[in-house]
Amino acid sequence: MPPVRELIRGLAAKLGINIEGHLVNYEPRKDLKQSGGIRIKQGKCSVTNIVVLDSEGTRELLKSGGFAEAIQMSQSSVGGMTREDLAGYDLLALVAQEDGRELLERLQKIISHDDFVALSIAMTIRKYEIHSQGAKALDLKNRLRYRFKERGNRIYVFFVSGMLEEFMGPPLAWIEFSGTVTDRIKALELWNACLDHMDYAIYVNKSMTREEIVQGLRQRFRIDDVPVVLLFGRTAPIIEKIDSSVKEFLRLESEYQVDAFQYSVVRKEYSMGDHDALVCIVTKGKADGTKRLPAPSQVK
Amino acid sequence: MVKEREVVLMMFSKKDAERAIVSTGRKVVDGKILDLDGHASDCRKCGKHLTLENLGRILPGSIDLYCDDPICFNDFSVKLV
Repeated sequence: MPPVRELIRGLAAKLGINIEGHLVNYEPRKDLKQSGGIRIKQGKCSVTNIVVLDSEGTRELLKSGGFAEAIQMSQSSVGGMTREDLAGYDLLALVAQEDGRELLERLQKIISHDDFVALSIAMTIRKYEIHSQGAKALDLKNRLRYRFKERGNRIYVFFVSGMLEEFMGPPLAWIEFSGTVTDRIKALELWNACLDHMDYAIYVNKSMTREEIVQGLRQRFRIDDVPVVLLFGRTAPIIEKIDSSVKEFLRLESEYQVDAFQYSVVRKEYSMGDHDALVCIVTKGKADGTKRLPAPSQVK
Repeated sequence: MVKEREVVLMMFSKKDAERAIVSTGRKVVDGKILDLDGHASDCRKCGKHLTLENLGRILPGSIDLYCDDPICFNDFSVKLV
């Protein structure tokens, strides 16, 4: 079957229509400054070219009938119809997706379809924000929350804060190399843990100091009064930093004479090749031994 | 090897929606879109009954219809990853 663009050209030629002026080529691979097109950081291995046929051109072709064959999808070509007032969004969604293709390709093998769609929407919201379209971004964010509830919102926060790339990027790259089912299951567990406990989680990176981690824990337990705090970290030095910070936090807490709490600590390590990740779950209980139960949403 | 793909989006106006639907072999009765078997057509993603007013996209799959909620498009677009 010929590519959609050729098919449309062929249909138009049979009807004696000059379609050239109606096909708008967005050429997303080109730089905005040079071409007036949309700039997309294309992955090393893929180039997507987006072409739009304006509504006048479509009207002419619709008159011909037999138009359904142009709605097709193959490895190299995709043809579809979109209402003119929605085309802007659709174009932006495709552009955002192309921008994050590498990440999406890696996550596709791991997360659920709903999470995947929510992430694609989060990427589109980010594009609106980058282009200073605050009202559209807000409307889309509300739609995301309405359709995917709190989990959708968390996926959005996880993505736009950069934590998704920073925390899951290297393990995902490893999975692409190793490709074992066990590693994928581990990555899915990690993804779920990151989202389920996002409210009071502490994502530890290289630049964070021990004092900041301890302060973060104290703030969440003492001021926010939460029952569970999760600490996420990747690579051996950060894991070591988390362990020593938790020890220091427990030491400081043991000095309380009044309003003392007991804490239990559970460590979950995820080793994928030479990529280590740690989820450290710190749970608060009363000093008399009665443990505060975490909220259902915080139990995995 | 570089994977190249071309995505062609054909824009249609609201007044051309009926013609676009008919070109796929479906019918329109009182503004409501009916499937080939005569049942009401639904949005492939959210399941909303489709009319000429809320028809948003006609996309490949087995020629699937989507409503005008922007985020229903993402359900289709992720198939292109």
